[in-house]
Amino acid sequence: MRQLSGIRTLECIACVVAVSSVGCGADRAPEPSGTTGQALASSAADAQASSVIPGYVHTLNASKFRIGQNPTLELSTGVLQQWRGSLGAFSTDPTNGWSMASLDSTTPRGPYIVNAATQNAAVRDYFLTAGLPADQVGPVGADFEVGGSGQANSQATFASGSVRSINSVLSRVVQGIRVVESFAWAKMTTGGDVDMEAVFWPPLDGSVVNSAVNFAATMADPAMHAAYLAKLPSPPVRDGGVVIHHTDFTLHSASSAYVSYDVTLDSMSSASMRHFDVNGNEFWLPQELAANPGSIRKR
Amino acid sequence: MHLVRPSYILTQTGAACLATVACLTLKPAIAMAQNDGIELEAVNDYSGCLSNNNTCTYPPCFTGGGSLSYSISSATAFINTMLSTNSLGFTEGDFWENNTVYDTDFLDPDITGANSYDDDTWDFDENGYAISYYQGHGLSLGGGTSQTCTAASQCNNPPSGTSVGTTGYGTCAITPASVSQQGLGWGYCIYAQTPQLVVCSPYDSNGHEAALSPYMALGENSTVGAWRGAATNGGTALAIVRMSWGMSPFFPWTNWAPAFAGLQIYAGMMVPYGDTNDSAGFGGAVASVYNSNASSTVASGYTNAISSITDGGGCGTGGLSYHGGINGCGCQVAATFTDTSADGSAIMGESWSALQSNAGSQTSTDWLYWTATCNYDPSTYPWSGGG
Repeated sequence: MRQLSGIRTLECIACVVAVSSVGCGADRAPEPSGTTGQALASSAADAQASSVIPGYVHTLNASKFRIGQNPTLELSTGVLQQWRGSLGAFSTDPTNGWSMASLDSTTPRGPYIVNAATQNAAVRDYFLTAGLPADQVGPVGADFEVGGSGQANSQATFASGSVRSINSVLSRVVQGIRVVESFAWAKMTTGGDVDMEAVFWPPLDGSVVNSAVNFAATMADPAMHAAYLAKLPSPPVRDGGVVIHHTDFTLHSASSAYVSYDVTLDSMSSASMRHFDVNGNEFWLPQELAANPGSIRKR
Repeated sequence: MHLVRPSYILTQTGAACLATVACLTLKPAIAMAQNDGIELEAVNDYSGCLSNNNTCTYPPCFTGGGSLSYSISSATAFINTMLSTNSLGFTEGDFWENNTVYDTDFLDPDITGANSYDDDTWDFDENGYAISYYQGHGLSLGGGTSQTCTAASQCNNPPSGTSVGTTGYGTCAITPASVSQQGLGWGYCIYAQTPQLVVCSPYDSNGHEAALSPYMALGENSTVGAWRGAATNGGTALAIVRMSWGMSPFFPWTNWAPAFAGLQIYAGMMVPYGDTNDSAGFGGAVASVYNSNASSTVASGYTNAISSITDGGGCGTGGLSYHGGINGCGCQVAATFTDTSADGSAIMGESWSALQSNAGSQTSTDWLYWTATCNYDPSTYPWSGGG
């Protein structure tokens, strides 16, 4: 049984990173705001003491999103800037550099590239041209949209059907280490425009990356690896190895990064990865600890 | 080769539940002028219902699994992101967590034969709500099998507790995983089983389970009229249900349609191989679609949000995906049932503001519209049959 009490979080090894401190993407994002003061203060101090692995902030200027005519800044708050055109909206979170764009419900879609290899190559080129660091791009995955309709019990509703569109998803690998929460994905039309996209690719403190690389090198030694696994609460069921995690895009603050050895420790098919630091101590990411106080119920 | 059953298996072993007068809700009736509420129900802690030598704190007991870790954090990210900018003015309704989530919350007391303690009227399907969100365990009844197939007609041997679909067969689901195990063109048979939410509270009245059929009726309202005796006191328009076996492939008529009673969109998980991941990233990813453009399409936005979810083991060899909140090969699915084809098309194309009013077309389940975004290619690796 997983022990849920006594949760503790890993100290921020070296947090990063005001997005504005790194030149990446076509434009710089504004200064972050609304961050947790403690984390940001330590981030800045750590960042000064080490190099920064550049991130990428996707901007409307660099985007091929089909926003339509007369895009205007419709909304500007501390946590969201939203440009709206005649066909859709492009939004970015100035505190962490996340961006997402989608068409309005009334806007015609596509036609889409429905060959995964072609679409993956096109989307990869698109983001690299826009400024995403080429040496950080890992495997490009794909998600496939299908659908159907039919009257009750018609045969048309009993099969998966043909692909309607594809989202090509760039994963992030820095110096051989996967950065789990980073992504850049887009749904591209045959004309080269983009109908939907989202990017979260924050800068990383170099000391975090160095720590991860060193940790991975240590784990490459079979004896050291076995000794480390012996420290865990139980033998791994699924071994994810050394990865870098960072805070996710739902948290309105500059990103913080963490080195982890990821494993599942039970056989539940739904089991999620658990995170252990270089000493074998478990920790949880801030987004995993987020909790609403909940409603008060009386019965 | 054996199929890894596409569910986290919880097997009920106990007997009666603790249905008592204490199950009565004391929540006051609050009329809402507009449908803008968001109800959240999320369960991490199942410890009181897990069997230890056939006993547990809150019988009946389950075996075959454990507690979850991230249902509540995911639901929290969902509501925080929905309300972050919130240009349409959605409001947070109840957010029930762990043992304050009752199985009665999801079931309609007005349906003949329903437990009198059932209480979706003031919970998951409360009048004035636009969106209802559940994340927690689902129940496996054995619908996933190790029966191999190349066509649906071979899926004709449903295990006890499951059934074939309206085609007369189960589903033959071919995935990158099944092909890697059995060879090109080979899949595994999946059979229909009633989807069931599983919760764990001392105040449960239905054995900790809330099945989509026959006592779940979502969205009934004065615009569409009463459904199956469910009165007109519901109101939710979008039900987001993240659990194992929420939408087993591919039984829309057998398993999905019975929950509709005016509901516009049922948004769930369909996993032909493996299981949903205990995901912290799901809720925030779904809500980010609304946050970034409130005029965007709800249904396709929900399914495409899978690309912003970075946890999960992915589909593995041949699956092309490394994420998606799925430990295996699966999809985020949005479906609607309407009285005409045109109405179904309209619902699937509607934006977030449409959730704030009752749709007049939800008066029957004659027509199905569905869309899915999967972490593998379902045209190369198709499913067929079911129904």
